[in-house]
Amino acid sequence: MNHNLNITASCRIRDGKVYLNNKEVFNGESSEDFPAFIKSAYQNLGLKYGKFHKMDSLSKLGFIASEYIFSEMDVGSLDKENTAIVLANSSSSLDTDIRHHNSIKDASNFYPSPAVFVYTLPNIVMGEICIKNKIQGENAFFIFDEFNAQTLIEPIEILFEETETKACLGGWVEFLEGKYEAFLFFIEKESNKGKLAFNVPNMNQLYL
Amino acid sequence: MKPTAYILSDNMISSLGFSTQEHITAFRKGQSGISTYNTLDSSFFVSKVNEQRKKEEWAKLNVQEEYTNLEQLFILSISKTLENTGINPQSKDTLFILSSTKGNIEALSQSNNANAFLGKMAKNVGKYFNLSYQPQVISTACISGTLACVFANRYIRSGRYKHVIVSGGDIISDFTLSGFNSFKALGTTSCKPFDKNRDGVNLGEGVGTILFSSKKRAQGNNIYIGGGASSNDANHISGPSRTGDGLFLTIKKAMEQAGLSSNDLGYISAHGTATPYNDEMEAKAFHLAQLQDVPLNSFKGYFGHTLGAAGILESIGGIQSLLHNELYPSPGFEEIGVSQTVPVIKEHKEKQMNHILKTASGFGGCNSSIIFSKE
Amino acid sequence: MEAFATKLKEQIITHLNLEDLTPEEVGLDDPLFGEGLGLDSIDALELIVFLEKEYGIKIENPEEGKQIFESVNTIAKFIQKNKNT
Repeated sequence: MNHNLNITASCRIRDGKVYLNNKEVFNGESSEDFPAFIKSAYQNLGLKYGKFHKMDSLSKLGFIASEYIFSEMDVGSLDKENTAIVLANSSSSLDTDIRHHNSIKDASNFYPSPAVFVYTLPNIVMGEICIKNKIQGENAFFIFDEFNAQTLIEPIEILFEETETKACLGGWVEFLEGKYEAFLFFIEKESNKGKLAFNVPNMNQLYL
Repeated sequence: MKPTAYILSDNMISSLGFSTQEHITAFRKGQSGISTYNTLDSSFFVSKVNEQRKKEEWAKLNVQEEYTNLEQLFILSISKTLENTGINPQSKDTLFILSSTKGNIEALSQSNNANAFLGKMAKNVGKYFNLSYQPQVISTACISGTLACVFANRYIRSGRYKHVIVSGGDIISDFTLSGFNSFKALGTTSCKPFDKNRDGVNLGEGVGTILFSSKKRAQGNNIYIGGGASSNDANHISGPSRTGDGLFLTIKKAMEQAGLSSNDLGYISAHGTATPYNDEMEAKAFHLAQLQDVPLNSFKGYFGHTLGAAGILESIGGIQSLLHNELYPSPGFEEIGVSQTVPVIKEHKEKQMNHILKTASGFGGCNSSIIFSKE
Repeated sequence: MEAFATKLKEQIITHLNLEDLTPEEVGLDDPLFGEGLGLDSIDALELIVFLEKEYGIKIENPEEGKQIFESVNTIAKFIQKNKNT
């Protein structure tokens, strides 16, 4: 189906490295763990955003990937009510679910934390990205077993076909017990910024 | 001309029973299924599925394989929905969408937490129906169920699928009770949506299922999805918007898609969690949409907040209202307690209607609206 | 009292993940919410958990928190008053 949809930006975060539009833009391999790595990426972006430090790992990962994508765009010029966010992963918010579970499993040490519990939903990362950028369009979080370009493309194409959506931040953002991967992309309708069509081969090429 | 998403059949499972008909009987009487439940050294007001009844219903299916409690509820609800419809869930033009917030979260207490993955739950449910593909899962906080219906409409309108089975479920767990309690969000009595004395949510459990199809029901009385949308408040990850603008945006988009104006809507099945801030936000959104005179209720007074099932169970409640031209009372409501007043339904009455609205909002600042219309 | 309030300030910065702030940047009488440090409703709930976990003090009604959590000093005074009762 020809929608004239183009991938105008993409960001991949994997193994301590950040790639923007398929080019390595940050290497944090020397960081000893994920918290140190993602904080160094935050500093690399020159951000001063106190909410970042309160986020759980999944939100930090998705948020930083989105900030790299938006770092080369004029976010202010977006039609905020018609910019959508569609993300997916396989473990939902399980990493933070385990933290909350650990805080309640022992009756003698029962201290459930509201600041942890609020992150026991996978779509909170979309909320964080929306708050930072004032994006108010369609929101949806899907769970798939693994990254699959075809299953991710379908709900995004449908948004462009069936709603007034003009742009969409989409992607895969997965974090569980220290293992992480983010692959976010920005899709625009009839954009002349890039001519990379939003299709399975191009997505797989960028994901590699 | 794009295809339309008609409702072929549905099923509701909650404390009020295992069929939509049992729910309608309770709604007409304003009868709530909320009761007290003891766990975590405390007593909570919740809505629980009757365990004995579930065992009996499950035994009728004569299943040998092991399924978790929630998977059994999903399988029961989907089986009952598909009965006598002639729809083959294995066919290529049929899509399964499950919606859940926490799925089998109780599996975290087991040595192997593989069952805690929502994808695993979807695979298990799919296996029962011999699906060749894995059901899609939507997990977008408390709008999951409504959003699943909104996407079902889009999948059918786009021509990609002829039939979409949407099923949403969640169960009561120490996980969610302790979390909502740490948020000081739980009500100290049966919940009172939109009431002056409301003080919080009652959690509930259940499963709701709707079979949407591009094909109409032969017996007439057809209801279809007129429009739907979702949005983000872009304001706070847990606190409802102070203006209601995010929810209003979804109502506006859904009405535009359906080609309706505010006078056309006969009734609203509200989110109405009974927390002070949510109900206040919703009332503001309804005023922004000029729906301040449209009667509304919250089904949470009947079966609590069923999280990933809420949007589907409460849509079915609304669809039944529309189908039978009747308004169901909103249990727990006595006196209006929001700054911009809205007409909350106090008693069962008849009303001729052609279109209704279902709204939902959740953590992460998300909102969703859907319109159901009568042909 | 001042030594206790200073220690408390560091505990709060750690507990609430206010990493962009150093203890020197936070005055003992600075407002914690609103225009001050900009803490939000989740932080308020988290402070209730913090007082219970670290000092064994329970606040049942979140509304009470509003006055107690005005500044580091008001929290310090509240702890001193309730710790041994």
